[in-house]
Amino acid sequence: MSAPGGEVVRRWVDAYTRGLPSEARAARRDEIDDDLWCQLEESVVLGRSARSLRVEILLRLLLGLPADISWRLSQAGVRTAKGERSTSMSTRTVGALWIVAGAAFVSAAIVVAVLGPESSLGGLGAIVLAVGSVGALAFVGAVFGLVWQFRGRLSRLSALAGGVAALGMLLVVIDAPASWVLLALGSAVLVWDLARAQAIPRALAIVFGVSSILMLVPTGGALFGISDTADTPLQVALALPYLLSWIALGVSLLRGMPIAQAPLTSA
Amino acid sequence: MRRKAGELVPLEISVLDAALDLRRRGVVEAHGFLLAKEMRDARGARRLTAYGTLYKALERLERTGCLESRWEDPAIAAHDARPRRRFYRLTLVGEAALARARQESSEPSLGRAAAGAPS
Repeated sequence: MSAPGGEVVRRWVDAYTRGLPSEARAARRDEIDDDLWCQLEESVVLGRSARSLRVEILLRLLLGLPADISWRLSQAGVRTAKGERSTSMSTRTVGALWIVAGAAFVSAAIVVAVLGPESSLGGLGAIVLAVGSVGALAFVGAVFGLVWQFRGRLSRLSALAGGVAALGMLLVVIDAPASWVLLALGSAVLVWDLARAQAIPRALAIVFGVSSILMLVPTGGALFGISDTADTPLQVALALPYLLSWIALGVSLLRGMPIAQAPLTSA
Repeated sequence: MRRKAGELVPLEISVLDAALDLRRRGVVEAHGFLLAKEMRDARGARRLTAYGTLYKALERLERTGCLESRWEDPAIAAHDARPRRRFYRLTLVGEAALARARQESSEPSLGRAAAGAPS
């Protein structure tokens, strides 16, 4: 049997303790649970009506809201210690691959935007090509690493999207048309599902998705003959947020998720 | 307004008072609801202290050393088919803080009495 109105109190406790370490959350929840239990017991002994008990519980909740909020604010940044984040060596490896891929493509893209296509750069062009190839390999490894690492928590669709993204990258290497479309959309779907599985922050998935669409604007224009912006500084500028979001994803995987937000561990 | 270190607000004085009264009656440790009930009965109120207010005060009193707490054995809670319980115990620091707070609250009246007394 539970106290009338108790569920509202529990939901509120769940809401304002969100983001705290699991131990702190459980401690507050259990203490309030015991209080509600005792309050119900006392009301039975005193023969109080359910309505009267509900009113008192809701009043105790409402009058304590300012204290709850100020308590929660006092906890911010105090208890999310580094050691309370959930990650593993293999997840960190995948994160490092995302960073390598992002850094390689960002540097190659900037060189190409400033100095021109790698074919016109001589020796520097060969270096750019080599850096890009390393980035491409790292990207493919990072995508398959993510799909493998979180296989128990990702949907089949996002696993397939990961495969499409990897295929897109291989097509980028041979400069095939629409390769960036496959790469961007496949990776965006995969990253969105990772956020759904609480492996990365939702905000990061949103940034990743928006930047992937932004990058496709000039590509789409070129594909449909609306514009001819391939390999121009504009295209590079529009691609940079997407490439930087690879690095952000890598950093996020390296750091892990706070345990209170990510109760599940990777597969 | 920020209060001075070691200064108790009226609610905290009530909590410590309740813990001391319970101890005098042989209840050395008390959980949150019991303390709230004791406070309600002591002031003749109809309503218990709000959840947020009570547990924030208990945490502060523990942090300042006025109270100590422990979680009961989960097996006991499971046996009684109720949530696990946290017990608070008044410390020497808490007793001293309570005595100081009582003394400070009685000083103005003593001062007034002294001022009105014939020299």
